[in-house]
Amino acid sequence: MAITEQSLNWDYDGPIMEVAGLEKHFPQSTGIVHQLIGGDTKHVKAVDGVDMAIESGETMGLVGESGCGKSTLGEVLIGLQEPTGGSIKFLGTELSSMSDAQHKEFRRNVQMIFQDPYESLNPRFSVEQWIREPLEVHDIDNQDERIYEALERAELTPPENYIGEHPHELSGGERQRVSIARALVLEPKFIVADEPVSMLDVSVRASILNLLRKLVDELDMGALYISHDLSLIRQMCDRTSVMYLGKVVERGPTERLIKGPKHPYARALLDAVPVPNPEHNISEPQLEGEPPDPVDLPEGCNFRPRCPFAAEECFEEPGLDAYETADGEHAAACWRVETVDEM
Amino acid sequence: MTLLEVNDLHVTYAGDPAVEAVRGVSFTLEEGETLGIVGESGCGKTTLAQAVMGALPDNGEITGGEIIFDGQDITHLSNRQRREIRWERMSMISQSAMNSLDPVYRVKDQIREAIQEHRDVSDAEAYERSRELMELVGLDPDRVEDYPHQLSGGMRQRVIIAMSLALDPDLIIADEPTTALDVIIQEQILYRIKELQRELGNSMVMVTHDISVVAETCDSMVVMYGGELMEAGNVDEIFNNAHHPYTLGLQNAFPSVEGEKRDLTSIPGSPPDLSEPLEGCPFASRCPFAAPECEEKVPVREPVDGHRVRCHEPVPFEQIRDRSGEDETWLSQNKV
Amino acid sequence: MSDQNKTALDSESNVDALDTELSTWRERQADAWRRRLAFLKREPMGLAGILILLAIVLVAIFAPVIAPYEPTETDYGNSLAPPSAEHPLGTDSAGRDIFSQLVFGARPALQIGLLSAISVAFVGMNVGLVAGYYGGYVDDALMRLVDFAYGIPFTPFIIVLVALWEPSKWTIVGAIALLLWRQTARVVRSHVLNLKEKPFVKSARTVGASDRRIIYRHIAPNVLPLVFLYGSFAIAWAILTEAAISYLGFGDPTAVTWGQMLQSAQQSQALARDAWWWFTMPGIAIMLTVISAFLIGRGYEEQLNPELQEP
Ligand SMILES: Nc1ncnc2c1ncn2[C@@H]1O[C@H](COP(=O)(O)OP(=O)(O)OP(=O)(O)O)[C@@H](O)[C@H]1O
Ligand SMILES: Nc1ncnc2c1ncn2[C@@H]1O[C@H](COP(=O)(O)OP(=O)(O)O)[C@@H](O)[C@H]1O
Ligand code: SF4
Ligand code: SF4
Ligand SMILES: [Mg+2]
Ligand SMILES: [Mg+2]
Repeated sequence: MAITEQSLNWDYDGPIMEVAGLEKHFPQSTGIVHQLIGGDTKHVKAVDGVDMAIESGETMGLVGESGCGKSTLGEVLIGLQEPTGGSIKFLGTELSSMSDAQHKEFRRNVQMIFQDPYESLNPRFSVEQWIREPLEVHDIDNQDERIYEALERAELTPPENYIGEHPHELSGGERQRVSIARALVLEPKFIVADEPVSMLDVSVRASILNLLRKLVDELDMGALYISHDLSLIRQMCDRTSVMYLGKVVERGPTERLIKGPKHPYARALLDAVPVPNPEHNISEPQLEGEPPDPVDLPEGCNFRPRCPFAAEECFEEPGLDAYETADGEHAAACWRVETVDEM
Repeated sequence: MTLLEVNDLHVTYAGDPAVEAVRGVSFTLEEGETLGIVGESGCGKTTLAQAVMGALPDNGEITGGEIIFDGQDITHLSNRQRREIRWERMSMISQSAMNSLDPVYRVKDQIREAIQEHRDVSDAEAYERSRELMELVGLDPDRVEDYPHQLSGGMRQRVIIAMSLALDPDLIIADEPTTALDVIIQEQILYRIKELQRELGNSMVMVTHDISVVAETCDSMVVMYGGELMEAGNVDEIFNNAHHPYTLGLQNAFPSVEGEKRDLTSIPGSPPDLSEPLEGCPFASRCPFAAPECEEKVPVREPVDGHRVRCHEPVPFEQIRDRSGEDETWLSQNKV
Repeated sequence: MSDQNKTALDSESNVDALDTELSTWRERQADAWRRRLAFLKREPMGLAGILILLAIVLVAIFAPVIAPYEPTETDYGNSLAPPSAEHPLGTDSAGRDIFSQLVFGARPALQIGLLSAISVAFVGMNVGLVAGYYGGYVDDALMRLVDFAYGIPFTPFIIVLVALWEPSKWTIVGAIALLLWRQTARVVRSHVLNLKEKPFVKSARTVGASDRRIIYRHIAPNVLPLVFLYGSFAIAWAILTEAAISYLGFGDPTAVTWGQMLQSAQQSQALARDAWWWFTMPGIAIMLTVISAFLIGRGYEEQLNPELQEP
């Protein structure tokens, strides 16, 4: 990639994306009366103190129930939303202190693929216009060749059959490939994929997953893959973070996490995934109800109100270091991992 | 006893062009059993469900075959007669039902209306029943006072299930009841549905594109493609001994958290256009095993009792089974 | 795939191959334009609207050639003549040829209609886009302005304006521009509020597109059919308003407009005198123009809006 004015530190050998204590709190809309009598504004703590580091060439999985803050974290990470606290470092440079030139470079190197293939393409843009836009914005030359190459990369071949199409002429899988082509035409170094296959048919899902996996490897990108389904995460991710109410509650190498989840929430998430095996009959859910709104969080472990293993010690808040394997790779924010393992 | 029997059903949507969405599907459903119908989007699952339910859109019409419900041929009943069976004896949880609740009425009023449409009961009785139903589906009975927008997607879907149970139907048709929900809520809802079925003893047709859901909740299954039945039988039999290339393709495309991690295969290409008539196998354009005879009418074979396969099997099925697990098999097809 | 492609780009012969491929692609783009215009075939009512309006435009342009008489040419000896070979649509009480007046009347009608539509569309769209996209104080301020414009009653406002300024078509255009943008602005704003949350807008922000680009390249084209729709309503409104103002006697008495024709017909009691041609003809002309504007708006909305076509 021909970068003329290199202002970010491309020789940095730490994690490509690193966040610490990241927070995104939304002010909760309260009634006007409440505001007039001077009630204090409450906050929805969508992301509440996340530490995470993603290396080049690595795909990090982010898994959790609906509403636990996955998309918000993804969007904050790529600068679509302003964090309300904590730090985001891209190639070691703090996002909030980047110069304009550096920021532009950041924009160019950090991209996102969205969930809904029916709403994430502008209905009025042809495939060609849609993929050309990032090149125009960043004033990059050889646009035609790059568009062509991006389409081939996304396996939309032969490209000339797709270039003039509009989104409503494409199937869901093809649309998602167009999104991939657009995200990759700038040859980014970091990409967030937010449930890119959840709305696709099973027979196309596999091909999109395989494609993403291949591209992350080939282009040596860092990636964050968001899903609520561990079976999809398993296909895609080297490491996985489990998120609950704005916090990462478990992190570890994906296979290890799937073979032996530690946090009670991760256990429940894994148990809930249906398996294509008729010997399995649907079992009693480990979790009842839905997560509370992340407004007034309980004292201590935030999973306590739903946790079947909660005990006295859980009134103190566990950090991710509450449980850690000897090699330090697998960690969980739970005081009672060993006890539960024995049960 | 057989509760539902569908024989060589054909359904066509009038229009320009006309679409023949269901093209000769047959199956039977025993009392107390659950039948899964799987296939990718647009293969006619919803159409089939709606035809059985007697709830086809205005331009849809049954153009062949028969539907026998509890010994009675209901294929060509008048709308009024169908309405009596509908909801009283069979009810439907539809694909986007959770968005079909009326935003301006409280939950209790919507359930009450569903009951009073068919039963002559007082408001007070209907109200009691609606609270009972809420509890049955695992919701706080006090939430009957809520408006739909005050409920989450998962809760709304439970309300729909509650409504479908209001009149104790013998058959429940669930069309993708959990597709838009996350795995935790999906598990809760599927578990509820199965529990209720155990308690109430009703039968169920579960339409889904997720074969894991079928594996976990159904007794028998039908695999559909391009409006036609590809393979059908007992769930254990189909999962352990599938013969059809499409079934095998789907199974190999499916990720699992169980066992060792394996690479997924994909099925390149797209489903056939259902507005065109088709003589041979609808899967031929995507099938890596397709041979010249696949252009001809495909017979239904029965390798094991009750296991039906519609495939010419140009190569021995053991070979089909082994080769369909490799991605190259499917990719090579795409190049042609 | 991409490996192949990278090596492909290095070698000479493949660059040629790429060139030819790119030229087929350009041809396809030309095709895309043809397809975009093909909506007219699929939407016969829209086509009818366009044809009617086109006819009116041609009539307005070639008025001097088409009209057999000067529109103001009086012939008192031949007043209130019914349609005949000499006067195809008859004459009025001053013996002026109705057909010629109709033909010349198309000019002010189109001018008023189109200018009003353009100003309404321009003001309404931009106010709606900016208010919806930026939200916050900008939105509050602009929406107060819209509320204010809504508070002003339409016809009395125009009559006052006409009374203050001179009674000319420009006054009517000005009045309509000052008032009717409110509706466009409000509708556009509510669509923008919805559109700006769509993933495709997020995607545009992700690739680094500026606010201006997002507003005008991503959001504006998606509200354009609406703007067009309200613009075509503005054509209709403007022509009807001109007619109403003239009919009420606030128009420019020296101008040849369809409204003035109606006004003089009414004053001369054409109905009582059985001179039906005098008031029906301008009535039909007004109706045709108004309907054609409406049909075009509808046809455009139905056809150029792919999302609306999806179930
Ligand atoms: N703009 C916003 N204003 C206020 N609250 C918000 C906003 N965006 C998100 N939230 C809240 O933040 C929390 C996390 O939302 P988020 O969309 O990140 O969840 P998610 O994990 O991606 O869920 P899903 O699986 O449904 O996509 C939720 O409680 C949500 O209601
Ligand atoms: N009301 C309708 N009018 C015309 N065609 C329809 C209608 N509903 C569905 N179809 C077509 O019938 C086919 C089967 O659709 P459907 O039964 O909804 O499939 P599935 O539920 O398996 O996704 C599709 O080709 C679809 O486009
Ligand atoms: S710390 Fe306690 S409450 Fe929290 S997950 Fe562990 S056992 Fe449950
Ligand atoms: S082998 Fe022939 S009949 Fe069997 S699925 Fe393939 S194409 Fe159809
Ligand atoms: Mg999300
Ligand atoms: Mg369906």
